Amino acid sequence: MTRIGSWLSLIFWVLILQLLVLSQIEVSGYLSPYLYPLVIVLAPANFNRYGLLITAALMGLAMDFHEGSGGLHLMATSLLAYTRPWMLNAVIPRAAEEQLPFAPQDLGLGKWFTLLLLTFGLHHVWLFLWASHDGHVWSLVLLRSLINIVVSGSLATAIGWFYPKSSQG
Amino acid sequence: MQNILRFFIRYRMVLSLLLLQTLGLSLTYARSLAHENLYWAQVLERQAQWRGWLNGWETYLNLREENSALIAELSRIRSAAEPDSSNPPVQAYEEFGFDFVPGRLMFITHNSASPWGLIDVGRDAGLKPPFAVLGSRGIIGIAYETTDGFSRVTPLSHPSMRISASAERSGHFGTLQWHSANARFAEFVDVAYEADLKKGDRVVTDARSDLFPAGWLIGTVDRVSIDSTQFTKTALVRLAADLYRQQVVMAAVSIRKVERDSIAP
Repeated sequence: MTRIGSWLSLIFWVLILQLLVLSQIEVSGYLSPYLYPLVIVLAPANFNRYGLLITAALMGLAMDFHEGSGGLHLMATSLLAYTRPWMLNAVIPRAAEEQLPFAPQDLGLGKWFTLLLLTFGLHHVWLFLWASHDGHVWSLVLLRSLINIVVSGSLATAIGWFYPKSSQG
Repeated sequence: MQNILRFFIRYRMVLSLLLLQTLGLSLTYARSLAHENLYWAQVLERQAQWRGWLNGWETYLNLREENSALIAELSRIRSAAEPDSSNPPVQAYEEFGFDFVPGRLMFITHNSASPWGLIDVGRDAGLKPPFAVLGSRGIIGIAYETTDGFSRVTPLSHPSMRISASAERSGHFGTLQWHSANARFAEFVDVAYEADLKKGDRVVTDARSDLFPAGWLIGTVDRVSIDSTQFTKTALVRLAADLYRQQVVMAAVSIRKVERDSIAP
């Protein structure tokens, strides 16, 4: 994603969807889809790193206040924002320098899923790791992460797919 | 100062991330009861592991001292269990003019012409022969020889044995003597003709004896016969003491013998 306007619009709608709908879903303690990391993933590639970190922290904090989860989302989202440039560079080299688009329809499903796996994987594992207190039940952490990555990734792909294709430059 | 400021500016991203992670952790553990419980459970578990590890080393390093303490305790137990031959404890008590010293009959041999037995107390226990040897059921015999730790006993089954005895029920006195090679019986002889001895009557030691306390059971009358030439009765006595087994005995030493001898004609 390259346009700041589209991204701000994405933030608004994703947060509405997350807070009003997805946060109400809880299946057997395992499935609670988190779509909001998509906002960080789809932030413009040349967006200020420090600004992205602060934005992610505020968004995570808002999620924590909404869910009463202390600072779990704050931790996971800020880590995702901090590492996103490297992950983006791993999937789309020179994305920031050349301001390349990276919505699903721009990248193709292969690269898109790789990007999702890296970003959502890191976010979810870190989130559920601390949710279960330092991974004292690793099987639970991994199972929850896997289920939620699949569900959240599918949702993110759907949202990203219907998002208007970026026009380069 | 400028360098410090430069450091913070240069690493602002990492420092901000660490700050945010710390803030997130603090908020999580401050607001979530489950996390608080898990945290303290882990803290206590680590504490217990640390103490266990430390105690293990302390125990290992104290093994020498514990060993010494155990050796000392073992020595104390052994010294209490084994009799000290250099200074033996004499467990005796006085009753009816006799000193009683407990001991154990080790054996009596009945195979030779002069049967003899051994008890495990002697001079060290303050015994001076001759003295009576009493069993828990009846009298055993007389000890005529002692060493420091043992005494030789002449049992009732010895051919030369003579003991003053009386029938407990009627009070008639007589003498108990060897009967035959059968150590379960003895003869109660020289009993007055008019004595009404019956089968089952108890025959006991009497006060004429220098060695035996009066009233101790010797045996019971099994059969009575009359010696018409002597105008006396003779009774076959089944001995109360079993002379064929090891048993606890009492060595009875008369302490009034001298006094009694002085008054005798």
